[in-house]
Amino acid sequence: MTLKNIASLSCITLLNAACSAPPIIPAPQRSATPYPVEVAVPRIKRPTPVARPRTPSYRPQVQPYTGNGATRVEDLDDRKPMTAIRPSRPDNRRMDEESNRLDPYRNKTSATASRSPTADGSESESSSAVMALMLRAKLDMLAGRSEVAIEKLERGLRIQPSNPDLWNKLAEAHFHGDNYTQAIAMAKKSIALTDNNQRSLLKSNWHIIAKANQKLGNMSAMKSAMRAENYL
Amino acid sequence: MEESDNNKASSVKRFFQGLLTVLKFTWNIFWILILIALVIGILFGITYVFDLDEKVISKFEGKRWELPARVFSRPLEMYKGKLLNASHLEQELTQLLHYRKVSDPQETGEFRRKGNTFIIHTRGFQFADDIEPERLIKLSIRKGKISHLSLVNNDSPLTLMRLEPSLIGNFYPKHNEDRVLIRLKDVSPMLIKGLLAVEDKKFYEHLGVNPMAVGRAIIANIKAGHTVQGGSTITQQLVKNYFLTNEKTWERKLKEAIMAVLLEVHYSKDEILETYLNEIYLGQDGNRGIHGVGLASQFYFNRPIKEIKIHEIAMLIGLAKGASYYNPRRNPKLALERRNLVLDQMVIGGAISQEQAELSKQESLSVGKVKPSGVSPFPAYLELVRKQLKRDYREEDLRNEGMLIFTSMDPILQLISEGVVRKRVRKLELSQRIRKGRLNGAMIVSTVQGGEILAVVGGRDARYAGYNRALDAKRQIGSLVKPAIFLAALEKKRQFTLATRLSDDRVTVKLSRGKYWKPRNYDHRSRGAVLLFNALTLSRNTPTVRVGVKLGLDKVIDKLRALGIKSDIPHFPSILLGALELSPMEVQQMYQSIASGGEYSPLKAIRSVMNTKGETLNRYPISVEQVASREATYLLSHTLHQITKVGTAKALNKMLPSWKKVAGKTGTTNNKRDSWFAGFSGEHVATVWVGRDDNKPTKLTGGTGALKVWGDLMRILPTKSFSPRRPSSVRWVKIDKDSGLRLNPNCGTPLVLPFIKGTAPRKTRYCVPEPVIIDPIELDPAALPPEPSVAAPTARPQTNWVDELMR
Repeated sequence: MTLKNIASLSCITLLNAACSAPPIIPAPQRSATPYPVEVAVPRIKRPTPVARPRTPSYRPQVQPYTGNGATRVEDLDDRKPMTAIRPSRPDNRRMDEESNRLDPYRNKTSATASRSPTADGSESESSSAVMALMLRAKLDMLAGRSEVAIEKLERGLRIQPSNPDLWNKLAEAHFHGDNYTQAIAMAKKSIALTDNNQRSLLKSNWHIIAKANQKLGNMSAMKSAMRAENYL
Repeated sequence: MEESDNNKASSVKRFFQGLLTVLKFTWNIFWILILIALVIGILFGITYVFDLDEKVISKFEGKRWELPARVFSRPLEMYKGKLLNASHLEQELTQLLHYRKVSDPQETGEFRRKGNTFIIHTRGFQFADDIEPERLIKLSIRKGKISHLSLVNNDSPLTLMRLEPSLIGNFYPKHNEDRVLIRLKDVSPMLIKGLLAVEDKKFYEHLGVNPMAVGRAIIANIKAGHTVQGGSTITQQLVKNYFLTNEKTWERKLKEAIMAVLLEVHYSKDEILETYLNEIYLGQDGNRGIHGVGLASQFYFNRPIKEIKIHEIAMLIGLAKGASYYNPRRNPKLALERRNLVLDQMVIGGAISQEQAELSKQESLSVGKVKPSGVSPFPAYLELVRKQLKRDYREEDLRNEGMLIFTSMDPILQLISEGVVRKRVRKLELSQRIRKGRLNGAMIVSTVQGGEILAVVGGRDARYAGYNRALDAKRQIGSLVKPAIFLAALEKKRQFTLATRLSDDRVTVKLSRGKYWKPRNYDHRSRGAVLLFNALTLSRNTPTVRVGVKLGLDKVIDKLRALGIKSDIPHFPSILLGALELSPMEVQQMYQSIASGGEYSPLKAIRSVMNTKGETLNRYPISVEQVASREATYLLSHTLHQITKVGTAKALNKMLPSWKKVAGKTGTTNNKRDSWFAGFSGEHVATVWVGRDDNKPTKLTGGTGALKVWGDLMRILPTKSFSPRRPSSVRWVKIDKDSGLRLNPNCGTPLVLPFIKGTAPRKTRYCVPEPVIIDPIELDPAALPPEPSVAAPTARPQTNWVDELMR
């Protein structure tokens, strides 16, 4: 075996980065039953010899397209075989922290955001109006007029559309008006809008969900809602 | 002889006796007949009277009038912190609610503006369940929102209040009578006194007919030779208007008198007077009759009856004699003469003092130049209301029962939207050199939460009740369909994430034996492999088709249905690129569901319907139904937001201030026939369509046409910035733009994307040194670039091994 042969062998078997003629990796075909997509002929570019760059630099390495079922048409940039750094053990806390830092929608007090008329605390300004409506709605509910209470709460929602308290009260009003599916949907919406530390509100919502599911005869859903309520 | 004489005499006597008997008999029969006739006559008379009586009662007791249904806009809510533009508030007060701008607001319906501070004397409004009292309020606006709100004579802040809703349209009875019902206690006593002084001085004394007045009238008429004076009482006039035709016969006069008396027997004077005030004919507007003082006050002075002044009252009273002859708009001179005559009569009747009369005579007629049209200025929105009402009510009930319909329409936003469509479509027409009037557009705006429709623009000419494109134009939606496909894909979180790599190359879909569909990208190019995120932000066609085919058409159609599309969706692969025809309203529904975090709330225009008694007949509460996963919708919404930053709609960057974040998608159909844009901010969802009614090409894409209209709207609209709430199971991860793997700080372009927990790429991208540098033969460890910071299994040991081998 000549040296050249060995070199080319190693090139294929070991996926050596030093290969001048890189191996061709056929795109894998995953699905056994082909989709009604016509398979075009794969065109594989022959890599052009790369000139030596003046300064050493890192070039992106493009992962070959692995294909979604039947379409296997790719221009593979396969000068380099696919390699990625093996993942480390996921660290949830670190990832959450990083996620919070990266979230572009989190409440910032940056210069651009404060220019918005909604930014500087309009929620807290309108909260007394919402509180007044919630109080009036509560009185209506006590008087058994759940429909009127719903009207007042919806008026509140026009002021603060994502106030979880309002959605919670609305769920309650719908429950008293015997509209159980809406009660569940609105309690779930309230949960989605509630922060994790507002435990009493979360509990109240799960309670409504459990009761409404019971009325609907949906026992398994009732039980899981009760479990969620007790878990808190 | 004597005997014969005797005989003769006795025969004569007998003859006369016989005659007498006969006469007596006849006389008796005559009497009996007369009696019978009398009895029959009386019986007939009684039945006739009873018949009339029944007629009078049934008409009076039952439905007294056919009242048009009134459609109201939303009441303007006012509280501290409410986003409100001072000029918009003034527009609402003056143009829609017809408040008068004065220096010192004393009476209801007046306001003062000084800079951004308003003092408003509100009119108040009776809502179904609570009353909004009239108040004198003070409010200031700073930085586009209400900074202070209180009562004028009480400095403690007013938490919450609303202005009355403005009337935006009517559904008239078949014979086009129009009326604004009033109660006697709402009418100023001056008007009543004045009316009685002019029309019926003895109203509170007579019994329906006034013989004195009739006699006086007959004498006056005989003297003059023709009719100059009527002796009719108010009751008689009411009967005449109410039950009878306008013919002048004795029979009718008699009937009128009988019915007038009957009316007086059954009802109190006040009831009769109230009915008269509501029935009286006071003008004409096209084919719409203006009946009653309530409507007449609106029609002539644009104000409710409570707010009109003495000279205006006098003019209305004067009109009772002949509404067309004394029409103040057509015959202002006659109307003025008549008014001043009435003012004099009012002094005689004790309604006003001499001074008041003299002062009032100085006033002009003060009739609004433009007739307030009975035709709604917002026909497009009204049609939507009517369509929604038809589901629950019969057409006649809508027209006759006087229902009050409260909608969610925001008249200010409606006017803004109309202006935006009109101006921008004209500009586009000019820039594309399309013949004038050929290009048209439509727009719908609704709230994100609850799906309340705030504005509907059916075309460029918004006042014209013609073809309503927003509801009726069914057009292909093009790329607007893509979010639904990607949403369905992202819900399969194990299979697709925003970082999934897709091929952008040509794709061929087999339709049937020998039939293929070969869609191409808009630019006819391929970008190789793209991330799913980029496939949507750049609106690439072939990756979308790939995703759709992989999901299966059924899944895509199911998702479109779930998002709220009700019309037929053809089962063809071409729907993946939007070859389905939808109206802007349906598109709006679909984007509504996306904007509200995957919750379907049916779009609605009506909040509640109330009857004339103030009872709520029907409520239309908000309903929600989770139809798409909250997490997947979050990922999609972020992508839609990025479209407006770096994608096909990045032109919005220049149109909107940077704090106003929005999300949306452009849509263009074959040969640029339709230009679409649908999207949302944190508070509003809006859909815009621009195209031609004849479906000819427009040379406009979604990005050059509809997007501009949408951007114009969002720039003006006071709205909250788009800021979706992150579900707890979503994490933000910094990845590499090319590979879709985690970013290696040493190379590549960073891209921050949200992922559902557990689906984020776990592998980090590998940064390799330039291949040629690692040359096995000339390997010099010192010349090697430094290792990538993240330890990676590099190829070096292998190189060494080869080196070893080769040595």
